[in-house]
Amino acid sequence: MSGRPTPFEDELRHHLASVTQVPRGMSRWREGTAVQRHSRPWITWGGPALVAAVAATVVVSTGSTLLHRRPTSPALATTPGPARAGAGVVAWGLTDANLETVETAMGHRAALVRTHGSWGAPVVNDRVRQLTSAGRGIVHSLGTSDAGGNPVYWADVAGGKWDRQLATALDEMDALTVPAFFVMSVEPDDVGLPGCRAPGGTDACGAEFVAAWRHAHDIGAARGLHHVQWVWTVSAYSFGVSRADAFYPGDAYVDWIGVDPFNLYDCRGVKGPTGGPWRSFKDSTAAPQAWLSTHAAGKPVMAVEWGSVPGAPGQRAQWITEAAQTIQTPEYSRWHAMLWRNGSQAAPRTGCGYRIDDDPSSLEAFAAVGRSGHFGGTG
Amino acid sequence: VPDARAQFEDVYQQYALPVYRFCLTQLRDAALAEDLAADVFVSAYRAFDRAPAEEAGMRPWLFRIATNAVIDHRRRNRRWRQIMDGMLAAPREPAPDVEALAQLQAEAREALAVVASLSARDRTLIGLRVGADLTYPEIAVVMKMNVHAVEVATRRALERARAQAEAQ
Repeated sequence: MSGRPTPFEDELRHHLASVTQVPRGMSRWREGTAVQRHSRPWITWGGPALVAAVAATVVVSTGSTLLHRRPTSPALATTPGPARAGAGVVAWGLTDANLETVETAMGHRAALVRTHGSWGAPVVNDRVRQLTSAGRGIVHSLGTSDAGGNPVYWADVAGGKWDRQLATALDEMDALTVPAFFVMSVEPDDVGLPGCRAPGGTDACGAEFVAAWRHAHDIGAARGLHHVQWVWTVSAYSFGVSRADAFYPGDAYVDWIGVDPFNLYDCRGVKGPTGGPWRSFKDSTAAPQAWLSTHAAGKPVMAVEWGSVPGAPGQRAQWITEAAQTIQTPEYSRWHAMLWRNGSQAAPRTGCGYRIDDDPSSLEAFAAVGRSGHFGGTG
Repeated sequence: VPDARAQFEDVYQQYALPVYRFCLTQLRDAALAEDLAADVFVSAYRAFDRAPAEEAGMRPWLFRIATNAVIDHRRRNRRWRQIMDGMLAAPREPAPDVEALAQLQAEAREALAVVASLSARDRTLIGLRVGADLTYPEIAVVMKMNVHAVEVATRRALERARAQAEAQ
């Protein structure tokens, strides 16, 4: 063989030669030999953006002689419906608070990040763009107030008052190439039943919420949006007192079941259903697990938020390690995503603190799980 | 005698663009390619005392690091893919990072789209040959193959790329 390039090879080379700029970020080596492993969030997986890079075809119509590519239809999933539990692996993530510190400890980026926004506010703001462009998926929730802090009522949502904002939010999420999970409201059953107008307690409030949820879901369906996964959740407490049913919109409107298990221990200063003994992850999820055994058959489960207070030194680290072991047992085979609530320091009012990035033993326990193969790591 | 840092600065100035182009051909995502290329130079700088003394050995040495980085990257990505396949019933057919790609010239995007449709091995060969401008003997060193085998394999890969381009 001659070793001489073929015309096609030359053409390809010529096309690539149009890349003439070295990105500034490439000179990181100049920071010196002191650059240590894990000194920054490593990309240990590229996320769907990278899957895209090797798998997708795109339409590029420049009239070039190199290619005459047939336009392809937008590569949306065509089958609506619930996600399936399958591969026996769990996405390991956390809330967007000191995220990078935790990722650095893990040695890779979180699979999913918990984000939150107000009604009417853009979902994909600068921060979400930053998170998702690096391949992280998001689990995004709206609260019960708008950007101005005014309450948003379920009855208004069901009545169409928020249709435009919902459509915009869902379109934004659907356009993401990373996994996008939508939690319309976290714990609508919370104390005081925010979002509810009707007097009459749980049942009446639940009915308002269900109507709002179904209406919102219909908006997405009418727009042909099938990328966004709908995650329904109520407090772990409600699962245990038969309150969850009143808020459940029905299998046809839900893709994932969300659970918020917490070990509150002594943080609220009271004994009882929201405080009390040191409870393992398994204990904290007993009520949701019981509900799941008779509801939402086959739907995958995620801990939309979960956590534990520190307890004695090392106690929370042990709690995390044991939780990870529990999740790998057959009874938890439907659990496919865990998002730690890396919340603030112990709140003055409740004394509850779930933050782990400043607690070395908890951080290492969390990171070690994240590095293990079952949770998407390489170990 | 220039110190290692100054020497490596020369290496960086000379090879930053070829390494970046190579990474682009492998990942087709400008941001990821930048990150991976940065990793390549960090690794190379750390190992610089083991780099070949002679100039001719530098390119194969550097691109051996780059190909290993790509392999490692793919391995980790497979794991993520498995997670998502498990999580989503109908995984979205992903699209490239449009924003980052838009920063590239249209010509480059076209070439990257063609290369992306090939197998990992074909991509590596074409990336080294066309993206990084390595000679066949240099590719042979990087890939631990003999020169003739490299040339045959690369030409076949280019044929497949051409067929891919024409078929669509």
